[in-house]
Amino acid sequence: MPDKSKIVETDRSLYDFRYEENAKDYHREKSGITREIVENISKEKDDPEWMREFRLHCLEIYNRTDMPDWGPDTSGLDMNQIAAYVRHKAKMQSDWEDVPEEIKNTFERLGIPQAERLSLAGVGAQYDSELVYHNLRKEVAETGVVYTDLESAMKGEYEEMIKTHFMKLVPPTDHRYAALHGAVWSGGSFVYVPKGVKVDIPLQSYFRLNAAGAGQFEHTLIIVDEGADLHFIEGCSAPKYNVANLHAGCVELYVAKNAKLRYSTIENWSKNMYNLNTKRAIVEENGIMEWVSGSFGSHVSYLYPTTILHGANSKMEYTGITFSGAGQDLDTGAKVIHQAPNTTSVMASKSIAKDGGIGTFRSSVVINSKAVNSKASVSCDSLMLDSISRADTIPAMDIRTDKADVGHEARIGRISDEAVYYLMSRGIKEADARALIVSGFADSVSKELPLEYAVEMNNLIKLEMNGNM
Amino acid sequence: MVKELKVNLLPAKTFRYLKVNDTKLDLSGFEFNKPEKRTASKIKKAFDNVSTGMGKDLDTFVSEYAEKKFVRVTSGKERKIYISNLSQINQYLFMVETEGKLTVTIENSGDKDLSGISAKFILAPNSKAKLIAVQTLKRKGTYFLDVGSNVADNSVFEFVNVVLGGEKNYVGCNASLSGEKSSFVCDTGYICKEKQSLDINYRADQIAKKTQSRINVSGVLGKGGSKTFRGTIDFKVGSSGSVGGETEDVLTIGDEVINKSVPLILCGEEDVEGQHGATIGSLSDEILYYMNSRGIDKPTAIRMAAHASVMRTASGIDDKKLVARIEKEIDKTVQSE
Repeated sequence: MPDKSKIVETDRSLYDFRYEENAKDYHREKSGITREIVENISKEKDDPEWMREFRLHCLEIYNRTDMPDWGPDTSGLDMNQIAAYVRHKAKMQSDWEDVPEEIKNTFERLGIPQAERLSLAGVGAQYDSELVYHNLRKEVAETGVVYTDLESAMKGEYEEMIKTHFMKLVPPTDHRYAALHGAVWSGGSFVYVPKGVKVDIPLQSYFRLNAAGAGQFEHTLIIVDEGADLHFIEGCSAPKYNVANLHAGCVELYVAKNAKLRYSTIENWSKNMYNLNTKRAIVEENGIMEWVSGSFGSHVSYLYPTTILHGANSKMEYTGITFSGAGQDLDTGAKVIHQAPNTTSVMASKSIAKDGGIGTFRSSVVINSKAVNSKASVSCDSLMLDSISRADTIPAMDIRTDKADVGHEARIGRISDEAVYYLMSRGIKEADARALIVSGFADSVSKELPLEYAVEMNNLIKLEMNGNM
Repeated sequence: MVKELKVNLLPAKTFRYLKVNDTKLDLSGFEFNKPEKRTASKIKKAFDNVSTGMGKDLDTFVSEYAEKKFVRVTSGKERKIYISNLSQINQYLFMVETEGKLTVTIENSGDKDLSGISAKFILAPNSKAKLIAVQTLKRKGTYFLDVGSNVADNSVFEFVNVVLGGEKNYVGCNASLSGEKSSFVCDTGYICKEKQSLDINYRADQIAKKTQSRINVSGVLGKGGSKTFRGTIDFKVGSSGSVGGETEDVLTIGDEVINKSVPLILCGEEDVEGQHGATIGSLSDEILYYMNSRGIDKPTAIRMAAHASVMRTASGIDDKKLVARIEKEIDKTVQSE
């Protein structure tokens, strides 16, 4: 049997690359978070007055809000060294041919235009702080679906809709990075699916943070109206730098009566990234919210998609996998608040830790007194691939009614030697046997993704596992 | 002057809005006098290294204000101790030498505004200690039980805890499994209703190789009852071959309940197996229908389930007379539901 050996860095060149850029083509705000910077961003974006005031209000909240006293260490993140706004001077395009060469090449290499042609109803591509490309298939647009950048929508016919929903689910008082987001947000998408419209193929937004020492603060606002149905996919990556980068995006999802939304994320930020993202959904009567989440990248992650089951009989499902390798401290999980009768939540999480990585599953299930006859189930499986890593599970439940049914289970363990031995006895090399077992462990997540993304996720697992033997 | 102590701290903090990272033990309405008798410094030093479940604040307070009682079980001997005559604040220090066996039963009943107990155990290799704590105080006042144990090679620490009375109840237990093949077994049963609260913090620190822990908590929440359970299995680096499990079952039989659970598994070692399972809820319609088809009406079925839920814990007590007293108290408590 070959001995285990370690390769500290795996080959991440698929994501970890950077084309030459000319600094003159970019506008970069100076580093730090000040009133002047916030006002500059607002001016750059030609915000309506209400948004300018909102940004400044958020800045005040940011300045007086402390850091949470739980979770991974963020002391390596110095906000004075982060540029909150970096944009290419070219305008957003709806044809890839018009996108600046180095940016187009980046997205080509990531496979985004190809995916759009093959399997997507629409694509938004953000590069640093601004969208560089946005397009929706004509036949989908004809059903009344709106998929555009948030800035344009805010100044057009959807201004009132955005004003009513923007940062209402995630108020700036929620936590320090929600306030920061409110102050400096830029980019992201607005999606509106009209009543009864079912979008058969997914929409996708892809976020690329290419600038060193910068932050990305995109805002995604999705409204799925009564009886409508949407699958939205979010992907992200960045080249690795020796300085900290920050991602503090915000996702707000409104799922109306009888509507359904699936929100899938393959997160593959570079390993110098602080990923302090906030995602929240509110679901009305008979509505369904599904989260599918794969976390592979980042140096530090705080990520807990939250669902508010506001309408009777509403449901949520969270299926997630987190893979923590060397130098990574990924704190992920989900939160749900049951506010209405007969609501249901299911959380299923898998986490894998190796090469000194730290993977934490953290969850919160709250069932309030009105949510009678509600059901909640949480399961968490963690796999430790060596004894220099950590895998922690920190679930919490707060149940305020006697008429609820709650189940929770968690398991932590290692790859069974017997299983590896069995596969090796069938002629499979030890490294492949271990990778196969890990892929099988992750199967419940990959089968929830469209085929192309399941393949990408399995490739990421293989990439991570290659460094393990 | 003692006011508020921060107790039952969660070893790994979580979301602040849940208010489970710790709790406050309010002792501001009570007067305390320092004991005249002092404990031998050698003994004190040995037990200073025993961490308890409720945490340092309370341990320091108890060390200052409780008169300590020290019990040693010499090598190869067996002792059984029954304690019922308790003062306001009590501390017991138990040392069990190699191959010694100790069973301690603390029965706490009556009408008290404050009743606090700290019990610390040091177990030498191949020894065994079992603490049975039964609390049937009147449903008023403040009660705390703070337990700590250091467990050496091949030794076993068992904790059986039944909480039925008191109004504001706090329980903590920490087992440091520093010896190879050492074990910790913890069973707790409770009933909380009508403004009663119970705040629990259990922790198994699995430090050495091939250690084992099992934490079972099973209880009943009646109308207005409140319970917070924190349970932690912490596999430290070097604890290879260790196994840990925790289960929690909560039967809710009344409305306006507050039921918080935070079962943690912390893991810094590859070759371990940890698991946790919890079920929380009322009796299902299917069970009630089945019971009804056997001639048992709904209130009786609920009382039977509540009785069984706590008696599961009491079944680990050998003293039949004590079990009978617990059973009587359970029946009295669930009868009124």
